[in-house]
Amino acid sequence: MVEPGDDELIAAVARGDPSALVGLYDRFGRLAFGLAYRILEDASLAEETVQDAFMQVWRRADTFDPTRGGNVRAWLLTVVHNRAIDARRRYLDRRPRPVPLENVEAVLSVPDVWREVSIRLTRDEVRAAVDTLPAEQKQAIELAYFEGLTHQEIAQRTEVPLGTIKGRLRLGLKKMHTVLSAPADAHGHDGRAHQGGERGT
Amino acid sequence: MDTMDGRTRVGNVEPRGTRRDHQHYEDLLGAVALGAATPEERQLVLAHASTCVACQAELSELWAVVTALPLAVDEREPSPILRYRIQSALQHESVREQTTEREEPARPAERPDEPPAPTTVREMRPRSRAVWLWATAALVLLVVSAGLVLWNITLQRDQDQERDAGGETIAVQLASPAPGSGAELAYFEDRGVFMLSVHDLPEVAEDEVYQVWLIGDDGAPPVPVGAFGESTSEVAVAADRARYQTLAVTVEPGPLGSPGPTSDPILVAQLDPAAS
Repeated sequence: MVEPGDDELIAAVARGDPSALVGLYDRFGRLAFGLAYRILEDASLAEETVQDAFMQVWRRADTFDPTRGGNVRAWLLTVVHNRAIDARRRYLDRRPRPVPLENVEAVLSVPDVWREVSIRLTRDEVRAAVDTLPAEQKQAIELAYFEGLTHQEIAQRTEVPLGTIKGRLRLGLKKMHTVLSAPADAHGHDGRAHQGGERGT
Repeated sequence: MDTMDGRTRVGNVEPRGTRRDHQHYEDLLGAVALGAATPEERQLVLAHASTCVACQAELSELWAVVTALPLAVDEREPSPILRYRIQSALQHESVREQTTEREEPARPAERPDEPPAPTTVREMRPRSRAVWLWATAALVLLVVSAGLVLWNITLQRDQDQERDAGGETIAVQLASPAPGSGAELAYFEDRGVFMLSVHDLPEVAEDEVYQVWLIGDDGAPPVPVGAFGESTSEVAVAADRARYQTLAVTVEPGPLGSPGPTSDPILVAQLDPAAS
């Protein structure tokens, strides 16, 4: 039998096909668990989070629209990330989450060109893009993304002015976008040629 | 000027459209994309981006990069139990949804903290959940009331663990054994689980599945306990052996089979210990 594509699986989930959700789990479960574990550093909590996220996908699959640049893998992992950060704050850090993320994705549609880019992205390419960043930009992005810190908390943790942290977050992501959007054969080459600077306060 | 204690210009912003404001919002784009801004900041930035083409484009790009960040992590193998838990949760969810649909047709309002798909919010498509996937509400309730859970096991490790635990082997008959095909069935009394392992069964069509049934001696209809699509598969069925006489597999329409068998069994096992 031919393996269904991601879009076909999510469409089947939206129609209420439980085997399609299990198919998505079989395809992305290890990555989802890896992400949750990276954030939570606790296998049991990470599994709970992944289960919670997949059930969220089950309930919300009918809101996914690939024609607007949606990418099933990215969407699913965004759900896992949000759930994991919530869990980290709730169980590990005992901090309330300052910023629910419900509207960012709703307001923005992903550029069509990025859909193609994001679908073909590999771990090595993303890691290579991260590695092009200056250490301080990489640290700021990791603290925000994997530890769920706000820019203010990052500034306090690193003892760096808030405006500098904002700059590191923005410039780091912009740099990664430039690197990841480059043709595949350019990854790891042109990206290292121009380091992003930063504007402090 | 921003300060270390988190006070920002957000509360004192000038009317939108000035160069100074644009610069201020632009500075926040990375934090907003990463979910690291305050709610007030995010609200203001999104409002600004709705009228500023440059900020909207950049925010889209940055957000797209954020969605790629998970790919940088190492994949990890979760416990095999997680797959079962998700399948079990799906069963419970289906039963709950059907109960809700019967009592209250409208879908509940979305929780504000639930992340949506990366799209604009659209009108919900009507879902045909459970229409034929779970066959009928009665069927699902029957399955649940029978206390049956089917787990389609693809991890050899699971079966190895079960075998290590020492299950009782039950004879299996294939109706038309093809060359190389075979099946094994074991029952683990301490856990109340049947383990069915089949290999090289005759291939089914793309729109068909193998469906597993448990049949009692009380004249009740066969109880569907799951379906699988691969001709070589391993399946676990949680059930009280004393309540059933026969386990059978038929070929049924996919993806989840039929409410009742529509074809002759391709595989049969007598569960009565005296018959083994």
